[in-house]
Amino acid sequence: MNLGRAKLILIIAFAALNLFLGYHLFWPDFGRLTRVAVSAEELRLTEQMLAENNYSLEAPINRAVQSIDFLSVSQSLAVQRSVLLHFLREGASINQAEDGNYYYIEGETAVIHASGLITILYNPPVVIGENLYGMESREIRNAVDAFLAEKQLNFDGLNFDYLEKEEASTIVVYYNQIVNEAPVFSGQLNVIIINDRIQSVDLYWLEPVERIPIREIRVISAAEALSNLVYELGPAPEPQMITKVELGYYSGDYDAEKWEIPPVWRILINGQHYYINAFTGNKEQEIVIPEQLQ
Amino acid sequence: MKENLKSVILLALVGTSLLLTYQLWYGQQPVELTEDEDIYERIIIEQPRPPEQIVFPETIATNAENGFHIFREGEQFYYRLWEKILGLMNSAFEEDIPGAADLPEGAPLLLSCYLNPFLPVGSDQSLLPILPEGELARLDLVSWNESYWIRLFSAEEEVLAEAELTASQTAALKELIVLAGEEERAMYKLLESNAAKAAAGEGLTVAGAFFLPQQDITLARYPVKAETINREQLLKTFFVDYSLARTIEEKDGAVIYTDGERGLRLTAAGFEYSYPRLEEGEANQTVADALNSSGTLISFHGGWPAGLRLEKVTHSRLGRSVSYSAQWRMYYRGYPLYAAKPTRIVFNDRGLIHFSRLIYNIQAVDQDQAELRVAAGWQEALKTAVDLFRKDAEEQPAELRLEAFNLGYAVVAGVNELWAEPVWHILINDQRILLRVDNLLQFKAEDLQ
Repeated sequence: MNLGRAKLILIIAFAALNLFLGYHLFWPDFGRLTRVAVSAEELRLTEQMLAENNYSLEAPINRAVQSIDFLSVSQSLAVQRSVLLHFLREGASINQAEDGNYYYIEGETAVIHASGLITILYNPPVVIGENLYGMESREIRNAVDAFLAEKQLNFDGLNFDYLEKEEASTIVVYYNQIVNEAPVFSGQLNVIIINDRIQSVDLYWLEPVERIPIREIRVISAAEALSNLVYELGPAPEPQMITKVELGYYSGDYDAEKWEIPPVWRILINGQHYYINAFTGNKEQEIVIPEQLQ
Repeated sequence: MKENLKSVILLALVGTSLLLTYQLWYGQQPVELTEDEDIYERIIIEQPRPPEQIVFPETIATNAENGFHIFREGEQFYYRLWEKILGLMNSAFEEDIPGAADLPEGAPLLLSCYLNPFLPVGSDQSLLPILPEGELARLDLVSWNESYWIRLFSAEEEVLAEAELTASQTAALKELIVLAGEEERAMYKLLESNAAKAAAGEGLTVAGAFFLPQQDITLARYPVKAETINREQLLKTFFVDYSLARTIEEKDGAVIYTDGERGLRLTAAGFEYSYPRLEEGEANQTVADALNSSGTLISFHGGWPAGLRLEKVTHSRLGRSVSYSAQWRMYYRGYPLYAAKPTRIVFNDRGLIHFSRLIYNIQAVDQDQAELRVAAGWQEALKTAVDLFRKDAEEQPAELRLEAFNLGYAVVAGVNELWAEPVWHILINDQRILLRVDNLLQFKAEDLQ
């Protein structure tokens, strides 16, 4: 091959490579997402620290630098209205009790609590399959998805989170809510199945409220969140596996007009979720409300 | 020539690609700091008060014919008298502590000054460093054989020190007492145990020095307003980086700010702050240091307005939580205001644990437009309070301790606004009883705003 021609091909190839690299590094929007919050060395040190404390990182972690704002929300009146309409159309009888308002139709009872939590109880329970307990997660999820669609409970942003198989043929399927392309772990829909029958659906749905002014703050890296959590938990007596590290929003639920939810790193260790505030790095716990301390 | 140029370009491109790859792989700084200058700026709401301006007397009583004139927080003469008394104490015990004066029991009293909380004195204090470590609870100025003597008492009624004063030392104070006495003032008498028992029955112990009016007192009912708080400034004093605090807007209009560890709840009238993580800790400060810390904390978080008096500092232990608590009360022209919650801070060596602040200001109106209330006599008020206490008590105590007895204002709701309603304030066995001054109807805790 002609040497001059080979050089030309290499020049074109390297120029293209440089364009690609430069785009990722310096492009104003895209570049910002791909700037690295966790360097390779930092990741190695984090894994080493985890191993020293008997934890192993078995999940991929997002190494990009991310900036995010609080998520401002209120209880979703639209979802409450939608559930109510379904019951009222069926001629529901209503009972007001201390723990909430009860709506009865044949086979279903809805309890709407002041906190915004809605519980729908099915009596008799609804059969959605056979031997679900022995099935794969995907098959169970498909059956539950179909049930939610039929009952018009598949709201916008509904996102399958995980499912748990508990004792006595009990399965709990957890959904969360996607807002602004991020999961909101406080917005939930939980389906409780016992012996292949859906017993109840718990629904706590949130409505995003525009936050003015928007002020994005850089979140701590996943590596820092892991370090903080291990510092809080201390060394594990038995080997623990970290199987999921994801960024979303989480807070308690309040009987309030509206509230802000901070971004969190949700970390799954041996089946248990932990939430690390992605702004402060603190482990999220029950919120401090002065009046409650009186 | 052309081939050489190609080689140079190729080498440059290879070098650049290596550099860019390194940058992309290893990144820049792991995480940049996000703080803005304005977030961390030092917020000064108010400079803390010097130690001698933290504790003010509860009552200054000057001897008049057939009784006393009394002066309390919020009155012009009260501040002037206290300033003169402080000067007198410092000059009387500037160099040494004179020996006991051996004054007779009945030496005429010119002035008494009651301190509550007590004022720390001694070598580490700015006030009376010449005295041994202790607390000053009362100061008397007495005259004997045409000379004047100052006597300092501890909480146990023991004489801490006494000194003779020169005529020039007392001249300014005596002049001020005469000037204050020329104002139209009610005459007060110190409540004696026998008089209290005669009014309200046996079994009542007078636990304190209570000055009560000997003639009809007329008090006006005033509109009140909660103090105005600069929310943004306040947020900056509680949260290092308040942009990390999230808000919860409650249905009653209150707003909570929290960073997950501490919470600040702002209402239309005041605020409450909690930082429970600090609860477990020690409070090893001396009382004097605790007084200074209290002053600094209230000055920093909202300020210390005129008329707000520090009325109590206590040290308490609850399990592994040891703390100091300081409580303030607002006064208007010598009369305290009783609201739904006190302004109180709780702190220990680790920091501020809890702070509730509820301060109302009386909106002065012309006397001819004010709704006036003529106070019922103290005997009638005391009897009513004792009867109410006995009626409400689940178990009848063997002894009733009268722990406070004075006139004041209760902050209550009117049709469209809040009012400061003149009341008799009576504290029996730690139970507060507020009676409207004219008809002696009770304001219960839930009536207070």
